[in-house]
Amino acid sequence: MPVTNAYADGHSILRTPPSDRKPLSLAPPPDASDPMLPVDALRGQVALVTGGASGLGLAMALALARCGADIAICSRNPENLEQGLAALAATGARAMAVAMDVREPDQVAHAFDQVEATLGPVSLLLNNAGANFPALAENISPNAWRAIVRIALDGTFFCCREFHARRKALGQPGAIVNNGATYAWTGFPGDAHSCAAKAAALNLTQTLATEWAADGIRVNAIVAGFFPHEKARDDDGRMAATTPAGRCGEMQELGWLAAYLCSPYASFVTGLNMVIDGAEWLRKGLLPDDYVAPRERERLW
Amino acid sequence: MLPTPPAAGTPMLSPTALAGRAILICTAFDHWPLALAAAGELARSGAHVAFLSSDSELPCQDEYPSFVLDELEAESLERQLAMIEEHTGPLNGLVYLPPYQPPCPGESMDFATWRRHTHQALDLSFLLTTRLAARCQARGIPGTMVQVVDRAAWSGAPGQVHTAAISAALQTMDKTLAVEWARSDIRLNTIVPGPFVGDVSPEHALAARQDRELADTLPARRLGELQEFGWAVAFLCSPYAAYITGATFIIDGGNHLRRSISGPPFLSVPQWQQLETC
Repeated sequence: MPVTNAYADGHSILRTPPSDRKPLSLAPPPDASDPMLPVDALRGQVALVTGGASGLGLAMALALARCGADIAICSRNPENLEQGLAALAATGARAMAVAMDVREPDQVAHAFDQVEATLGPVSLLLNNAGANFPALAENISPNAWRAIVRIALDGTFFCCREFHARRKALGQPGAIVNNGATYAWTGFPGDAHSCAAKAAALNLTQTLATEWAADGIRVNAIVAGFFPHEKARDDDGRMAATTPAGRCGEMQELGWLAAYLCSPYASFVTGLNMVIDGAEWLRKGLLPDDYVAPRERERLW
Repeated sequence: MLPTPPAAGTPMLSPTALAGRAILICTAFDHWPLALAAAGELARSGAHVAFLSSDSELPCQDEYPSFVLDELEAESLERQLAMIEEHTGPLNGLVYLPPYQPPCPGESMDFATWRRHTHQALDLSFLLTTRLAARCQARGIPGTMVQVVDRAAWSGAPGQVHTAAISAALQTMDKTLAVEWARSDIRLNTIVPGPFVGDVSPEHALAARQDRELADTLPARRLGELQEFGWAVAFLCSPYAAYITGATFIIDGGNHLRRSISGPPFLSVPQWQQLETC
């Protein structure tokens, strides 16, 4: 039964005791097999997904495949590609795998050639390739810094540039979805390299959106919270417990957002950096825990 | 130019995607085109839709249960919500479109005008969201809310100090309540629309007075089609957006983005417009 809580100033508010409340988290989403959009919403589209062999990239590739798109997944790691292709095969979509290092413009161009020869011109680009590791800024070597920034920023730019040149030459529209992170706006101790790279990638998204709107090319980014997958698990529920949502994201939720942003239903959406994180990045309370300097932490992240 | 979307009436979600949702659209007269587009898409996806407006003209009362807001006061609103629920069943969704405010230089705006505008837009939103959330929480049912705000929330808007302040307040209110209510499975998101065909925003009016094409001012080089707004609202209200809360969805053809390092010579508010009396 609802009860009334009285406050010291005489103000009162109707409250429902916890035992009466059914939800204790945001509701789980529909099943991953649900395409959300009509099954032919992306028919005739060819999507190239970097970092598409596993994790978030594969989730986006699967969502697009369920809406009728042909899919090319790219990865530096050829053995990952096989398992990605196996997952895509279950959707019935035409799919192929291409080994590519997004840091190398020549490899990017070659990958686009390969996809074009097999599936046709790439009309959707999803820049998901990334890398990250915990490190205090003073311990990040120049090589490590370059590796992270080059994959997330240079790779995104090289792929966007290649995509735009080809779409413009064809006189055809297209859509790009980049991969961001909320720490691009907040910073994050122990992650200076990725923070800087993601901030740059989100800013790049906005600039390219205005430069290429006239060519009919939309550029948006997904700013994802924590979505556990094979390389980033939350078996003990530690991450879920810290979020206002009370749960982590499920892969298909990320996929649906990507599919929507790629679809003609989002034709007026460009330059958007869209957060999907169960409110994780918002301020969670009035008084945070005691601050522990990063160098004094048992676990940096 | 950005590509044109599928035709109005093309469904994006399945006819049952929003089954069981009873969504109240609260709008002012000048937002009717956007509000009706949202209603159409929500209804097409299976939601029950009702309208509440502070304007006495209700252009959709034959299609949807429609009500004129009695009074901007909590008890009165509770009574109206109960009445609306007799038509829709328990409400578990809200789409709120605050009225446009006429441009007015800050120094010319008297305090009564300021209070009237902020009271209408901000207080009504607070009352609606909190009353609806309380109902959902008491019943143990989830809820989804979408509020329309202007990009002035973060950019400011010379000549529209009231709009800018209201938009910023609505946006931060959504973020705060999204965190407060996430564990009750009540989601709140903000949607920032750019200029749409058929809308009657101050930008539309100014462009018309200057005999300019509003579409030419956008990176998209076209206005939004109303159905695109409807699809965005339907997506945010749907279970497919179950992990999206406290977020801002901008649908504006790149209108919120900077165009160049510099622009035409800066004009003060009185210079760029013969302002309407407010």
